Amino acid sequence: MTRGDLVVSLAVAFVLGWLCTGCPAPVCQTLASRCSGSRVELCDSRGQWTLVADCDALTSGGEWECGETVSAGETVIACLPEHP
Amino acid sequence: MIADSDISPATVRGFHAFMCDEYDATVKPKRGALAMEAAATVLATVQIQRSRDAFLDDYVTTIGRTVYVPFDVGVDGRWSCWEQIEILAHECEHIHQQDTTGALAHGFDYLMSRARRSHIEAEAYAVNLELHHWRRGTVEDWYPRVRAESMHGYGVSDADVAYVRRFLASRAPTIFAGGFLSHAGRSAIAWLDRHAPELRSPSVRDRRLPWA
Repeated sequence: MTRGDLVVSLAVAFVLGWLCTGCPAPVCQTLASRCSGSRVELCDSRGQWTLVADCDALTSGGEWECGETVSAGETVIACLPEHP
Repeated sequence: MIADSDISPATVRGFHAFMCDEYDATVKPKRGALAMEAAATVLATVQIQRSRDAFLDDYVTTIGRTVYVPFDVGVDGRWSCWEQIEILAHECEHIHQQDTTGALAHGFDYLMSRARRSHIEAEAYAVNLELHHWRRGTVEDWYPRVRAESMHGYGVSDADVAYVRRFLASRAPTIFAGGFLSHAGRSAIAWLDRHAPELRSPSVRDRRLPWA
């Protein structure tokens, strides 16, 4: 194998790798949201869960928990202050 | 309340100096920068941008750790002094994202996936949301929608715009309850609390938080 073949092979592997990871199979309905433990997750346009917020990572104030509330006229999942 | 246009140039320059130091960033004028002039020509030619001037005057662009701005820092004009503060915090969140995921992966995601680009911008718009709340004391119902609609200029789909809107709507209740989630928002507000508390909404200052 020449150096040129090697470069082409690596380039093809890179593109194929991207194609495989760039179009994952949908696992959720776009705009669906959920609490996954302390994580607020939202489903993106590819049908993949993405992180909106990790309530355990909030440093300000007291304790936070993932829960449902109304914001900007719609029901959303968000990090909310934990009830005592 | 001090108007956005009446914020002192010294405050804006002090904020820019702090954030550049904190994020190892450099702010440069967009017009005259070779890379930006070339990008403007390419983007206008392939019609991603409606014109060269739109790209050069209406958008701030960050490449690596350099933030190219279409305004003179501290000079109120098309970009108000407050907008100059907000946009630098937004761009510093992008630099933080690069540091977290790696510059190559970040650039790849941004350029190659509309969904990932939307997520990256949603996280950075959440910084604007935190600063907007700090300054105005509220997050209006229209805010997530209007912010998200600006994503139409980034070549994304309607579903991506809806994703950004919902992302911001999900962040808003946490911000209203006093929680900060973004790295750059936290840095920016810590500086503003110390150096420009007169810009903060009285309702934010006086709000009794659940744990207070």
